[in-house]
Amino acid sequence: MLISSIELLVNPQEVIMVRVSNLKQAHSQAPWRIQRQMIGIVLVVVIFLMLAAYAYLDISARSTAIGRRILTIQSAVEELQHTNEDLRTQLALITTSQVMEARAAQMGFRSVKLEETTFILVPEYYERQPVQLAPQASLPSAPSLGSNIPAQYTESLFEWISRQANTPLFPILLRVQP
Amino acid sequence: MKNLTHSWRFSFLGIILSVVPILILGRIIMVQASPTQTKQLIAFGELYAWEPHNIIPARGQIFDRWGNILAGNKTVYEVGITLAEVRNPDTIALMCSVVFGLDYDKVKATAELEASPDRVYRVLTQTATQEQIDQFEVMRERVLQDSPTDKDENPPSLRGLSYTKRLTRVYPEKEVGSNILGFVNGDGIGYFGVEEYFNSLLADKPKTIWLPKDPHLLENVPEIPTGADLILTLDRQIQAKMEQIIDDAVDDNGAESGSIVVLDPKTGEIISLATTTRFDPNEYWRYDQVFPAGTQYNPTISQAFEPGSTYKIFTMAAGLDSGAVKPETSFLDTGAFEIGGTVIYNWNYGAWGPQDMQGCMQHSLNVCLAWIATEIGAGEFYKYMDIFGIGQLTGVDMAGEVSGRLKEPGDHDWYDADLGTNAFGQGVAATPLQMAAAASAFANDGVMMAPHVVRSMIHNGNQQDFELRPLGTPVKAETAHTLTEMLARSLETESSDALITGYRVAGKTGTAEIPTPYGYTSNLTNASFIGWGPVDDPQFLVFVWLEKPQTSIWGSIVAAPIFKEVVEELVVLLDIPPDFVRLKLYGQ
Repeated sequence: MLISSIELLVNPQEVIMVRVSNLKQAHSQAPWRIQRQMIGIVLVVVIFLMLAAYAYLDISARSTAIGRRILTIQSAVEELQHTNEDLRTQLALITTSQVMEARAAQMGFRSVKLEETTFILVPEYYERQPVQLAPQASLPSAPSLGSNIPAQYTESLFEWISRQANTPLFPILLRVQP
Repeated sequence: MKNLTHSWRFSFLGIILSVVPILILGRIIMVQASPTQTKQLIAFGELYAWEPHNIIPARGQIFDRWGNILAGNKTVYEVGITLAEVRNPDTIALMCSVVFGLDYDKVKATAELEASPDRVYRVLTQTATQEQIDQFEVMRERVLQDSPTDKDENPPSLRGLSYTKRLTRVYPEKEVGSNILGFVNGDGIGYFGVEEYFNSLLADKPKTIWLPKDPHLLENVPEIPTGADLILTLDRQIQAKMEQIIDDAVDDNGAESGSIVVLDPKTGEIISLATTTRFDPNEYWRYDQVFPAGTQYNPTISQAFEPGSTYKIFTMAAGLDSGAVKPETSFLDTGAFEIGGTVIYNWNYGAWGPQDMQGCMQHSLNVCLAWIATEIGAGEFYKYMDIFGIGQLTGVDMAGEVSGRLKEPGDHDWYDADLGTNAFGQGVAATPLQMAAAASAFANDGVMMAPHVVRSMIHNGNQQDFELRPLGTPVKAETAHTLTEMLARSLETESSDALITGYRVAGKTGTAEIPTPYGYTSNLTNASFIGWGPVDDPQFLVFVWLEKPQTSIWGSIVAAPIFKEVVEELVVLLDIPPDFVRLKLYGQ
C-alpha cells in the first residue's frame, strides 16, 4: 500500500527511466569483460592472419622447392642429352672410314682389286640391306597397355555416369523374360 | 625542467617519424606520376630478374646408308658477358685472352659496354672446349683467392663472365661428303647441301629465351623439340674412294676441277657425288678462304656447263624414239652441214663418208647429229629435251641447285642454227647431275627417276622412307635398250679406255669447247664421260667431268680411263659380280 502511494506521488515517465536505467545496469558488461572480448577478437584476427601467412609461406616454399627441382631435372636431362651426343660422336670419330682403313692396314689388310675378286654362290645369302635405325612409321604400333585396363580406371566421373545411365537397370530380369 | 626535456625529445622523434614516411610517400608519388622513370625502374629491375639463355636445339644426326654418322653433335661451351654484372673489364679481358685465346682489346671493349634493356649479354666465343673451361675454373679460383678486396679501388673480378654448355655440329668424316652435307655455322644455321635443304627439319630455329630467376615463373620455360635424323643414300666408303679418284685425276691431268656422279638408275639414289675443292666443314669459318667468289660449293648441282658430245645420246635417243632414224639408217657424212646460215663441222673437220647411226655415235660426228636433229624437227626435238629435264631443276634434295639453260624456239635468243649446235651439246648448259639424271632413263627402261640423296627420316622414334619418284618417261623402253646396245658396241669397236674386263658397259665420251665472251676461242675443253652398266641389268650410272685438263683436251683420253677406274671400284664395293657369273646365276 505504501509503495503504491509513493508511485502515485512521482512522475510516471521518471519511473520508466529509472526502470530502464536499472535494467541497463543489471545487464551491462563489466569493463574488464569488455577488454577481454576486444583482446579475444584481435587475437582471433591475428591467429587467422598467421594461419593465412603460414599457408601462403608453406605453399610458396613448396612451389619454390618444386621450381628448383624442375630446374635441376631440366639441367640433368640436358646433361644426359649432351653426354649421349658426345658418346655417339666419340664412337663415330673412332670408327671413321679413315681410321678403319688405317687400322685394317695396320693389321695387314688392303683393298681388294677387281682382278683378285672371286664371286661364289652362297645359298640363302641375302645382300646387305640399308640400315634400319628405328621402327618403320607405316608399321602398326604395338597394342598399348591402356587397352587392357578396365574402363573404371581410366574414365572420368561424367563418363562413368553416362555409362551407368546407358546400362539396363535389371539386366537379369530382362534376360529371363520370355 | 625534466618534463620540458622529455617533451623536446618526443617532438623530435615525432617529426622524424612523420617526415620519413612523407618523403617515402612523395617519392612513390613522383615515380608513379612519371612514366619515364617508371619504365626505367622496371627495365632496371628486369636486368636482374631474368637471365638470357641461348638455345640451339639439338640438331638431328645424318647417317650414310649403312648407319655411319656423317654429321653429329658434340658439347662445347659458349662464353659470354652479362654486362650489368661486370665489375672489372681488365680482369675479364686478361682471362679471356689467356684461356680462350681471344683478343684482349676486343674483349675489354665488349666488357666496358654499358648495360641497357637492348644490351644485356654479349657472346665472346661459342667454341670453348672442356679443357679451356677446366683451365678457366682453376684460374678463377686463383683470382678469387688473390683478391685484396677493400684496399684496392678496383679489385680483380670476373663477375659478369659466364659460360654455358651447348651442342655444336661435328663431321667425323671431315672432308668426305662435305659437298653433299653442307655445313652448320656457329648460330646453328645450315648452309649448302643437305644441311641447308633440310635445315628446318633437322633443327628448330635457334632461340634466345629469358629464364626467370624467380623459380615461381619457371612454368614459362618453353620446350624446344629436337630435330629429325636423316639417313642418306650415300655409302661413305664409296664416297671416300670417288673423292680420292677425282683428286688424283685432277692432279694427274692438271685440270682446274673435277666431278664424279654415281647414281643407281633404277631408284635415282645418289651413291656418290665427288667434287674437287672440298673443305672440312668442322672449320666452317674457312669457307670464304676455300671457296672464293665464283667457286661453287658443289659443282655437280650448281655449275652448269656445255656438255658437248655426251649430249649426243639425247639427240640420238630422240631420233630413235620419234622414228626419225633407225640404227641401220645410213648417212653420208660430207664433213659439213649447213643449218640456219651456220656450217657445222666434225670435231676433226673431216668427212667420214657413209655411216650408220652406230657409226655416227662411235665417231661422235657433229654433222650426223645435226642432221638427225633436223630430221626430228625443232618442235619434236625440244619436246624431247624438255622431258629429259634439260634446262630444268631436277629437284634434288640439296640446296644450291641451278637449272642450266636450254634455248627453245620462241626464245628471243634462239636461232635456227641452235637446233644444229644443240644436237651435239653446244649452246646448251646442264649440270653434271642433270646429265646423269637424264641419262638414267636409258639404264632404266626409259624411266627417269628423281635423283635424291636422302633415303629416310627418323622422327618421333619412327623411321620413314621417302618414296621413289619418277621424273618422267622421255623414251620407250625399246629405245633405251637400242641406244644402250649401240653405245656398248661403239665402246667395244673402238677399244675404248672405258672398257672393264668382265663387265659390259655402255657410254659416250664428251669433249666440249668452252665458250668465252668472244665465242669458242679458248683451247681448253670440258672433258667428260657418261656411262652405265652392266648393260643387261644396269646397276650404276657414272658421269665424269674434268674441267680444263692440260694433259689432253679429249674426253676419250682423260675422262674414259677415270670412268673405268670408278667402275672397277664400284663393282667391288657394290658386290656386283662379273657378267658371266651373274648370267650363270640367273640361268640357275
